[in-house]
Amino acid sequence: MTHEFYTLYDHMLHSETIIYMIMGISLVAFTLYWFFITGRDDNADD
Amino acid sequence: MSLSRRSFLFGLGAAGTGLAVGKTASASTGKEFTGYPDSYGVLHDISRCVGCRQCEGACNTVNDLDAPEKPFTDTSVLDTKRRTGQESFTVVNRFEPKGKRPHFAKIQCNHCQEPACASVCFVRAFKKSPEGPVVYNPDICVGCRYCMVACPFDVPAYEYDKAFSPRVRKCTMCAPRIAEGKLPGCVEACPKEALVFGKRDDLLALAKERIKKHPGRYIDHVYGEKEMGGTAWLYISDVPFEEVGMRTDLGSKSAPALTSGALGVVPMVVGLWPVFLTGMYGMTKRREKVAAQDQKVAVTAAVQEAEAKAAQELEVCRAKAKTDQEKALAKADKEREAAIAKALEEAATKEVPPETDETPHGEEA
Amino acid sequence: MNEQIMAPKKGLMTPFNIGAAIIVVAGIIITILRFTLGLGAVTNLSDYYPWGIWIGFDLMVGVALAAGGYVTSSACYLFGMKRYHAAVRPAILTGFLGYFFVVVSLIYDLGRPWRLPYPFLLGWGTTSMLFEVAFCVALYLTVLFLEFSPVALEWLGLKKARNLVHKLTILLTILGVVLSTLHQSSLGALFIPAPSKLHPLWYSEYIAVFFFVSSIVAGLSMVIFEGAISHKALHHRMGKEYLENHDDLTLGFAKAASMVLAGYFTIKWVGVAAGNHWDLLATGYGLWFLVEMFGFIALPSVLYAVGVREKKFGVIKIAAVISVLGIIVNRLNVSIICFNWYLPSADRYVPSWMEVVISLFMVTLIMLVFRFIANRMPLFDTHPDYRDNH
Ligand code: SF4
Ligand code: SF4
Ligand code: SF4
Repeated sequence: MTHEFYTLYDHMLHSETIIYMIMGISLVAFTLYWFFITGRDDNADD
Repeated sequence: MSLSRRSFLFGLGAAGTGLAVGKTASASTGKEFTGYPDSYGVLHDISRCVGCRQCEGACNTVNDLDAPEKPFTDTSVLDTKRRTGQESFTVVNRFEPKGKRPHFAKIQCNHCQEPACASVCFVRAFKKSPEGPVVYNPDICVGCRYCMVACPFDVPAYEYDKAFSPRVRKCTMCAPRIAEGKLPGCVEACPKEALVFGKRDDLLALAKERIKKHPGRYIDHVYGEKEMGGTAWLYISDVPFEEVGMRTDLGSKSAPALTSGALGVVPMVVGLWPVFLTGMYGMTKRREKVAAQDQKVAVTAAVQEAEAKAAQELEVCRAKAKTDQEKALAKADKEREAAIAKALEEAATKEVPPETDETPHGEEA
Repeated sequence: MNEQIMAPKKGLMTPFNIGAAIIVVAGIIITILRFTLGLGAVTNLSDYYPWGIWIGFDLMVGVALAAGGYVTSSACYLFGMKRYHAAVRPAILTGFLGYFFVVVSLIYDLGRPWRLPYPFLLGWGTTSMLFEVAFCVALYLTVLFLEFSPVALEWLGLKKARNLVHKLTILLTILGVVLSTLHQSSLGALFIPAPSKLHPLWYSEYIAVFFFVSSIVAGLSMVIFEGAISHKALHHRMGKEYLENHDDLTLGFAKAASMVLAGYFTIKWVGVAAGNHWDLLATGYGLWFLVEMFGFIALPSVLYAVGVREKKFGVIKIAAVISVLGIIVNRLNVSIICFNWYLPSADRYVPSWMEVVISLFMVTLIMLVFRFIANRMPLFDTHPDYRDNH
């Protein structure tokens, strides 16, 4: 990022917003990935 | 224009610009943040304050606040310790340090360099503006009042009596007036120049200079230089700060810096907890599967054993049944013979024998 | 409403029903006052104490005590304690109701409750611990709703939908644990930016961990506690599986609670050591801290242990009650009693009677809804159609 942050608060606001997006994406991606991993199991459920 | 008054500190030269500004470091980048350059602040010299309450009156006027019960000229108000409120963004309190003349200290929002109120607000209703003031936007505030919980100086107040549009209220550092090139109301009104408005860096230098110039007069500390990451409002005093009602145990770590550790754990939990838990689940499932298999094996074995046993038993039964049958037959034969003999005997003794061929015992064994 | 909530074969005029009716009427009146006259008219909140018992009790305690949902479902589905299966449904329901009424209380407490969605829509104040809490609670409420929905769907006879949701059990459980870990600890972390306002014996850099660990204690103890109550009041609704495993579950959870309390006891001392606040133990607040440590943490831990060893269910129940009280004491300490502890007593906060009534109102509503559902839906029992389906 080329933008300069003068306060820790601004820096955190920026980085945390991105981190929250990563978290959101990761939760969805993780779920799909889990289905991919277990997709060929004989009894994927129960 | 009012800016020409001495309460406004013109660029004091390079005396100490940028020398020791409040610094906050980010643990994640190792970078230090020095705050907005050229942001404004106010220096309050507690040794000069006479408790006239003119700043309070001016603040009330410039912010269009409700008039208080007692006029601002009434100094009996000073008999009780007060705090900022929804209709009083600033208050002056009187303190009587032991063995010294009464002292007065003005409190209002300190416009922190790293504001706790802004860092805890979940809708970003507070903003540290590049000019220095920490400003509040009532149009987005939800009213959770976390900002009030977090402010280390107990500054924000809430309009609890409003049912439909309650706001958080606090000093604005007269941001609208600054934008117009005017002085903050309180600074302009101060007759003793106990308040000086200017660039924070310059004020810091001025404060240090005053302390140096009058050895023995001031406490050697600029309050607000580092407190909670530094504040735009700075204080110097000739009595210890805790004796004029200011907290000296705040430390220099700012609210965002304090929170960053806990906040940093959040994505780690999101990233790794599912890994751990699915692992846990996989192990559990595996254990169950193995247990189920073991059980299956055990069951088959048990079934086989049972079957074998049953067959054996059947055999025994059959054999037994056979002998039993033979025995029974033999017994029946004997009985039959005995019966016939008996009948014959009876027939011999009686003249009219009954139906002789009828045997009394069943013989279809 | 009353004829709906009464248990079969019982009269309407039970002491519980009468008490509940009074609280509900008073609650409704105060609700109207709150939303027409403002917070100031019904609460004792002040600028020094912006958070009263609606946050300190309803939210802080409510969330902690609703932890039974994630504790039980993870024990059963993730950690392989299948025999606790029968306890999952009631625990999920209490969890869901707990969180639901936490949000309801929040609506009472917020200055402008209709702006509740703002953090997600407009705000994104990502530096705030409260943002994280709000996000997690919103998501977790959804998760709990989905986790509970099979019960309602079985009741309504919607087989397809029920089986679809049932397939997601593991996914929802994992999501539930992740979200619970986060917001249970973040409730403690709310105070991290304010070290100067919370008494040093309660403020700690570890406060988030304290909150998370004690939420496990709360969850376990609440399941035991509720189990004991429900067992008495709702025995006629309980399936064979639930009844057969009830004692087993109580012993298992008591064992776990005893250990977790022991761990909690230990890390609380680490907190004191890390801040080097030993000298404060000799003060009034220090005494109160010791009461919390020994009376509400060490004591129930030992009672649980004794109860498990001697198979004395009475002792376990007492331990559960003390643990739950301990959670209440701890959350109130952090958010009210030891908050702004340095202020003169005139500036301290004491809840108004109307605030107390609203808190009671929430608790009563939870109990009434729980009873309504337990008397109708297959809560302590699986629906006959799905019995071998888990
Ligand atoms: S003094 Fe309080 S209200 Fe003012 S900026 Fe700092 S934290 Fe915010
Ligand atoms: S009360 Fe308003 S300004 Fe304060 S933290 Fe909550 S939403 Fe932000
Ligand atoms: S800066 Fe303005 S708002 Fe703040 S105390 Fe002074 S007059 Fe009041």
